[in-house]
Amino acid sequence: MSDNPSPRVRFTEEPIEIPADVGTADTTGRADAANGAVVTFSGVVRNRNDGRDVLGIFYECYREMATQEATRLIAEIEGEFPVRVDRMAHRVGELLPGDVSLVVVIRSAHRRAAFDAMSTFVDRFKDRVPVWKKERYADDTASWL
Amino acid sequence: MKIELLLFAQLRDAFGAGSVTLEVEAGATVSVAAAAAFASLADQRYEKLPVRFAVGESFVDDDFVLREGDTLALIPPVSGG
Repeated sequence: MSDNPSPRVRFTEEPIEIPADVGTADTTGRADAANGAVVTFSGVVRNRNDGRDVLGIFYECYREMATQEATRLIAEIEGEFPVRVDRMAHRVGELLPGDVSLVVVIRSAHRRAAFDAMSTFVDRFKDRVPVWKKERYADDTASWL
Repeated sequence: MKIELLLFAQLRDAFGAGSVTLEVEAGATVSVAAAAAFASLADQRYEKLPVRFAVGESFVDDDFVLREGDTLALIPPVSGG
């Protein structure tokens, strides 16, 4: 399976992170002086969940639909808030505690809209983008959440 | 008519495959097709999963009518992020 060629939406087996130049360059690599705020979100695998020690998480996605649904969500967010959803990426496969599972970058002229849009984006992503995780625990059990 | 069923997460484990071909009556809705699929499982607890449906990579309602050759994805509760 190859990654979606669009730089804005990626579901990938490769490690993801917030780019070091995110404050000064958009996904095209150009300077973005129109937007005075860049809000970034990183979702990180926790080492405990529901009182249990977590050894790792396996993420799977319905890649074609996840890409389409995330793209629809971006359009929706950009229609509701004066922001640009610069990019989002989600890891799939085996992750360990401390690994980054989700990265989202949102730009706007002013910070409030970007914070609000980020909160709404992540809430809706977790509600409907077809990604699933299976946690592995220290007691040798595992479960889909 | 035949449709293809896509299965993910705990449903992939339950069915032992990521996709199966399913024979359903012409004019069957997605919920009827899903019920037929779940009935084929020995473990009946999966019928209680709050599954959503997608056809053509978009969510559809329970009463969406399938056509020959459609691909129906059963979407168990998602947990990305």
